[in-house]
Amino acid sequence: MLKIRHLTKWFGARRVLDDLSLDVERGERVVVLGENGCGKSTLLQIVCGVVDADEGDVRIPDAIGYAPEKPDIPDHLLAREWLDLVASLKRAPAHTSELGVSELLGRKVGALSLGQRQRVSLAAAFTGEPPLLVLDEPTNALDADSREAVIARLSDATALIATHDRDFADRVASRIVVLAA
Amino acid sequence: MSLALLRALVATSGRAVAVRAVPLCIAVGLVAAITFGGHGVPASLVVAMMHHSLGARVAMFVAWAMLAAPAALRAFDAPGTITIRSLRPSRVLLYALLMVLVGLAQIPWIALAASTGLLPAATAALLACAATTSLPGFVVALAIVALDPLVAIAFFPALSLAAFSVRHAWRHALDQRAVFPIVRRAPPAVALAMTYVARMVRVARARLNAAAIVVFAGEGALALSLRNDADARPTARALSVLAFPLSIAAALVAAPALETEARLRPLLRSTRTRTTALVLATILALATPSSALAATASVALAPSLTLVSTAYAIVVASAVAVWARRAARARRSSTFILGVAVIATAFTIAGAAC
Repeated sequence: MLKIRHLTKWFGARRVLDDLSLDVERGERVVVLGENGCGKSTLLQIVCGVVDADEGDVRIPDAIGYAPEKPDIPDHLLAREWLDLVASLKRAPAHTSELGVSELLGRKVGALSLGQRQRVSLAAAFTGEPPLLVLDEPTNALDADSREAVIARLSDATALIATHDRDFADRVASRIVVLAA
Repeated sequence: MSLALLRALVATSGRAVAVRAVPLCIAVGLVAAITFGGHGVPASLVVAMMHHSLGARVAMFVAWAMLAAPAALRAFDAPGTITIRSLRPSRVLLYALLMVLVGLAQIPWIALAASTGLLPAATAALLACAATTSLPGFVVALAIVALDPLVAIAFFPALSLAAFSVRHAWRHALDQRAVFPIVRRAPPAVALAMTYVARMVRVARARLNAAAIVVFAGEGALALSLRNDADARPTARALSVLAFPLSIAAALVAAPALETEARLRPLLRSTRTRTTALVLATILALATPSSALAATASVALAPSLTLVSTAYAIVVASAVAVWARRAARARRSSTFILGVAVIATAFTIAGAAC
């Protein structure tokens, strides 16, 4: 499903990722743990094509559901508009009932709390049932109920997840990978 | 408390108003320098013309309110104002200071009125303050401007109206208003274009208002030109007269579209959105307001040329959109402005040759 080979990334003089290789098989949920600045988010951004690697090769399926650590949804959009935009770009139906976002649809994203934004961002990532989910700190700002909903939603998914939440990692992971700084 | 409140308001509301008002004042100042400078038209003559013509008076007041409102309204919801609200300052003092800050956004309008005296300037400032801060204030101020009473009679109603309007704006600034959805499920280019237009309408209203004024001025010039020259070929005249206004209008709304695309880059990359869709989205986003404004202005001012104006707006906006993307990649705004001038000149020459 996902094959990463000999990935290296430099930020200036600092090497963030060094010759990293990793596979994620269908139905597997690989959770990446590691201290701050060890390159977890960079790895996920490279997998999604947001950032280019300096060396190495990444093979991914055609469609990916990506939820960044900080939901970068423009404040001027309604939650419904964001989900419709993502659905349009993915050419898929919008997921407007995922994670209880139906109650947020008519509200501007700028007026949502961080946790509500994260729910909208995750619902957008789930749009179109992509074969691979790439989730960066998906439970950071979520309340307990939403966290449980995400855990349930991931039970049969294929996913690469970065998190600091050890309990969440233990509950969803098929395999845990620890990145060293 | 009064000095502390003044400092807090200047640092929050004042700064937010200034960020939008300074470019507006510079732009209007440049136009005024050309119009009124040297052997140009005296400012007092323009004010006299406004007193004599109801249409000119209303058109100029509405145009000014549209231009200044986005800057004036920032006084009420700027970052930091929530803290000021929580401190429960004296209402009278607060509203008085807010009126002064909103007045800063009206400097060009006040300067125009000041050419006929101090009291007219103060009255003009108060009416503009009322019109740019709340809808009820705008309606009543417009009625006063349309009636054009003596300045001595208008001053006190204008003062009360400005105070009411500022109070109304402060009390309702944080209300969550219902927002009409603009972005719908559609092909990728169309959905993206709707997202860019949503930003223009909800965030970059000042640019959209300026584009509207430029297009209406262009259509007005076209109507006057055709009325004064009976032998002119209407289509050729429209193409040459409208080239600059339509180019400027499209250029004004290019930045919000490209900024939104930059903000969406992670999503666009992760969904592998094609470059052709991005280019098409920019063209659609710039052509939508340009053609809508051209059609509206044309229906009002030169109805026989509505179809020509609308189609021309789409063509000009497409050229500006393609150039804007190119200039954005090079990250040089001077190149963009120069390119827009070249596009407008080329269309003017081509239009005259038709």
